[in-house]
Amino acid sequence: MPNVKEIVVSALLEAGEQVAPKEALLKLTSGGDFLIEELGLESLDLMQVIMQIEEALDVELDVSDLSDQATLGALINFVTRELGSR
Amino acid sequence: MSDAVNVYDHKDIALILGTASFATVSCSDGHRIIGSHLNLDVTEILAVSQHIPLCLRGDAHLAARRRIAEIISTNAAQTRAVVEREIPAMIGDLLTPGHHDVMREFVTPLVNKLIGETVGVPLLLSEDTLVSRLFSHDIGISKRRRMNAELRELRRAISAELPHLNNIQVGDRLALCILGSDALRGTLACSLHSIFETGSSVPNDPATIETYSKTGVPFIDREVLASVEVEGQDREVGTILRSRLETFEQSDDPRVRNRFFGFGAHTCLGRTLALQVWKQIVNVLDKNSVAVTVTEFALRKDDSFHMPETFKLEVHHA
Repeated sequence: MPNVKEIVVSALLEAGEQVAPKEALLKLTSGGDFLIEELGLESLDLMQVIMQIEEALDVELDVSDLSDQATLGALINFVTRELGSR
Repeated sequence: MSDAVNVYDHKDIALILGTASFATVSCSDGHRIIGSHLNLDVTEILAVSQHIPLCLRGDAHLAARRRIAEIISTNAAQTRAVVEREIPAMIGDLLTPGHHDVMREFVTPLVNKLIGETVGVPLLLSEDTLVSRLFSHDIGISKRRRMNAELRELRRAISAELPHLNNIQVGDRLALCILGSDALRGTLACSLHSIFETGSSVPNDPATIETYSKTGVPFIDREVLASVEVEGQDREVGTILRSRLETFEQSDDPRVRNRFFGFGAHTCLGRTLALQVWKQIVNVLDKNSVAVTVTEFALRKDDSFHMPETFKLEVHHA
């Protein structure tokens, strides 16, 4: 089973590193839960996140799949469920 | 992801969709920007966008509309034959006692046959085809890749079947597949669902006997070209107005419901065929009274169209 958390965090980190406030990036790497909106990602950044998760885990995601998940934990759970439902 | 302003008032919708003060909205800009940002191949998506009247403006719109209308009228006799020949047999099969998948057994094969006759190429699009998903801004990267690949395959299939066509003619037929497929499938399936959910196969609402009760195309976007008041609010140049066509579903007047098909220079070119299809379906249903139970029905969540992801029936002897 791939490490979903690691892949999701890595995708968010890469998309957010140019645009996100430093404290949001620190929260992201600290391992705790936090609101994804704190990263301040724009729609193209979200597309980049989707692409990285899709390619790493061989799943199909839509924009609403991401935007419907308010927290990092919710997003990880969602992607894990998607993997499990294949 | 959309900042469009929803419009529900019927008169305002007629004004927005029927006059030249509002411009069509490109269906390819989002794909182009995402493709460029993420180095994604969206060449087929961008190429076919140049053939879709719904996405074009001015002379380009008129020219594409004229070419596509000509293809439809040239093949009208063949599509009419499909309506008359295939629908009675297909409905007969669908209404035999037992369990049925309405999309797989009826809606998708029928629309494939109709669009196939229209473009002159046998179509075998599956229920989950992505060819019509050009308008779905919500889809992720993997689906955009698959859509681009499906469009490429379809372009090759059309070129192989009709080698005498030039690139413009092939592109027009591809556009017809995109425009016809999900709009008709969604409208047909959702309207059938509204009949079958009553527990009978026979429509009893007078307006539904005349025309579709649901639309698969719930909205159309237009851009404001000159400041205008809509639903009591001033709307500035550049505002995107989203005309909610599904509000016409609430009318008991079939003439109002037929505004699903749009207005004026943008009226759906498939309107005549779509209405022939519905008339024939209603005629056949009327002669095949059975009890039905909708056992599964859910719309796709990731689609701009209203399109069932699942639509299953159990048919019993009446």
